[in-house]
Amino acid sequence: MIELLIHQWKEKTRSPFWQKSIFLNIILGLLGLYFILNFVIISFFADKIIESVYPGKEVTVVFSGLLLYYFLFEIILRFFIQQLPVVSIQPYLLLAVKRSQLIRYTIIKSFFHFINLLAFLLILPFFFKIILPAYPGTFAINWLFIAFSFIAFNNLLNFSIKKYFSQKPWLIAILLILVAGVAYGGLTERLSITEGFSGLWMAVASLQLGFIIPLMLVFALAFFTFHILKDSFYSDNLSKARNRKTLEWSLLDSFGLQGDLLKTEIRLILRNKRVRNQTLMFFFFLLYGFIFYTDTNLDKQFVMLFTGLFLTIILASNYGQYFFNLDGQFFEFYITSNISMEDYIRTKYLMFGLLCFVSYIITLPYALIDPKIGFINTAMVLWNIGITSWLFMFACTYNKTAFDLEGSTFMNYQGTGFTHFLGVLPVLFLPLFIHLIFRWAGFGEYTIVFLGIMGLLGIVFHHFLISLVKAQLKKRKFIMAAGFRKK
Amino acid sequence: MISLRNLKKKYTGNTVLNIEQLHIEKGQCLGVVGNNGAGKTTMLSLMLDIIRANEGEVHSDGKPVAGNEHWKQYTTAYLNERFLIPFLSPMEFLEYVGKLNGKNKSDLEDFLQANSGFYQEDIKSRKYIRELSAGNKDKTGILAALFPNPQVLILDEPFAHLDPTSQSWLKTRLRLLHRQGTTIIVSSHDLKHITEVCNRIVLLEEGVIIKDISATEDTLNQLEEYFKAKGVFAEEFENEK
Repeated sequence: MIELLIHQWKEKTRSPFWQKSIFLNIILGLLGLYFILNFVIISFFADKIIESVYPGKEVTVVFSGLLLYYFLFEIILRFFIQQLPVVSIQPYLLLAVKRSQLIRYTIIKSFFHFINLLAFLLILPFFFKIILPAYPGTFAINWLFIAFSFIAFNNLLNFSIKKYFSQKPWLIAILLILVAGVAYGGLTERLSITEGFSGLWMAVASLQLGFIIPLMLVFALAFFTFHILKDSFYSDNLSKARNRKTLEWSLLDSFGLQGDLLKTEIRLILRNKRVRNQTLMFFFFLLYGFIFYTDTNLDKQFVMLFTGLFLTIILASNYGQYFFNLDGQFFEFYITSNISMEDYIRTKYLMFGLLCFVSYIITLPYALIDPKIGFINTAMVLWNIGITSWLFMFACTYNKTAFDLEGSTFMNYQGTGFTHFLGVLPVLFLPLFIHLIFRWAGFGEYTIVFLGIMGLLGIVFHHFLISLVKAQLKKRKFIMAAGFRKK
Repeated sequence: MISLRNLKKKYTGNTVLNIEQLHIEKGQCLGVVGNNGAGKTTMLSLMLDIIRANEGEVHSDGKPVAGNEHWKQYTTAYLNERFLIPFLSPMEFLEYVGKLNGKNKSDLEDFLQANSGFYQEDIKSRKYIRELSAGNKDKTGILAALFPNPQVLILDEPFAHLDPTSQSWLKTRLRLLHRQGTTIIVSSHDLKHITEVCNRIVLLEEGVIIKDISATEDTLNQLEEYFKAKGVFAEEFENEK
């Protein structure tokens, strides 16, 4: 068992992921540190926060109640970011290791995850600061046991959710809405599940041997998980292909070759887990308008510009960041097939434009808040389709890593390179930079018109711009193909 | 049809391919043999402009392959699964390749009908290519290379993952194509297959053409002699005989 854990450690540390970019590692490290600090600080000052929001209530009761939100939220978060360590076990299946031992190991290993560390950090500082000094020993121990049980329970629950829900993304959406509803009801004090939740917690913690109850639940779930995994070790997903529906895109068929090329791009997005889920997730970002379009912001042109820029590209951003890298696994097909580079580039461009346009249409109702928003967003979508698209494409020819289409969805930085931060991201902020220059020169109010006209020019002269990208791609294709071949 | 002149490819200083002159006539069927690392795939990749030569050029139909796209209209190739789109089903992929070459759905049906000896039901299922076995992936790729009716066909190790029936089917198919005048370039580790199919054999070793012979009845023996097992065990075995 320990030997297995050592192997797994080696797999992690020797993964090419770490050797690829020190720069990315530093950024990820800082991000991790940032989360850790946040959780520790929230937990440590929870009593102060709770006293100021809910004066006169018992801090422990409120804190326990609020943890319900966290645990519910965590279920969804785990679904996206916690990969189950099943795959890396395959080589051992043939060796003389007992199957049941492997399964137990899989379960134990799943506890060594960053998200569990965060949950601990949310609970422990509060426990040591508030509960341990103020309550009798058995209550404190019971309380902590119950909290740990919740973490363990969620961790194990993830196995079941992944197994039963991952084929049905709409179930996750329903779960999300349910959690949001509970949170909304609780915060507006219309429906208070949290009080019942914390009441139950307190009652169980007060019992002499209260910790046994949650512990039993955890073991029951562990037992159930064990059996799920045991089955899945044999299964070979035969049923998957059978109930698969193929959408017939009769509309696209009437556009000839261009329609077929576009159809393949749409399938690229819809049929690959990582691209599809990331694009779906970006739908939530469309709601950002409600945060940014506030009365105070409506007069700040800089914020309006940024929001418009952001909202009209959001669905295309994932696709645009990885234009050619998305084809990395089969780049040879495109560079040797009977397809001209112009057609290839134009298809990528059309798909990007289409996604921008959809984002624009969906967010257009924000104009009801203020007509100005409609005007700004129209200019910004023109800019995104006419200018950002080409700049992204140029930047992408410098990214030499193939995008892993089937990888995990959340917090997955595979395919993100140094050039990403130098090329793709700055491009996004170019209009803001232009605005600052314009404002400095005293033409601040003309930025929008200028950007809109530039975008329009980009769209009108797309033939010329395609030929520029073509020349660039011709120069870079060997280097890109060689990079894509590396695993 | 295709000629290689002074072609050199180096990786970090090591020359992996060095061909002074190789001219492949129209309608010729060229077999490329050699051990691992001999430069077979490198040579085919250069013909398809996937990698860039350090020196020299590949000409197809009189014009350089590098920097031009004319050859794509009459050349098809299948080297490995990087020539397949993993998220399409085999049928969708074949249809797509067909569309790129001006063929419609009924052309595909006719084609599949005519080539039904080569594939099993898996090719027609709704599985995506990424879910297929290595053999079925290769079959899909080979079918996609055959479908557009190319003038030049380039295959790398096409027999490696095929079952015995498909191997002999492919051999027959390639012989027929050769008879119809298609220029074929195929590499293989299987000396028997290659001598049965091709009328000219090129033997590569460490990137250099060691032998360039037209295939006769004796060719197989010649090649087998060349690729004889070496080492202590092989000597022991020889002595026992």
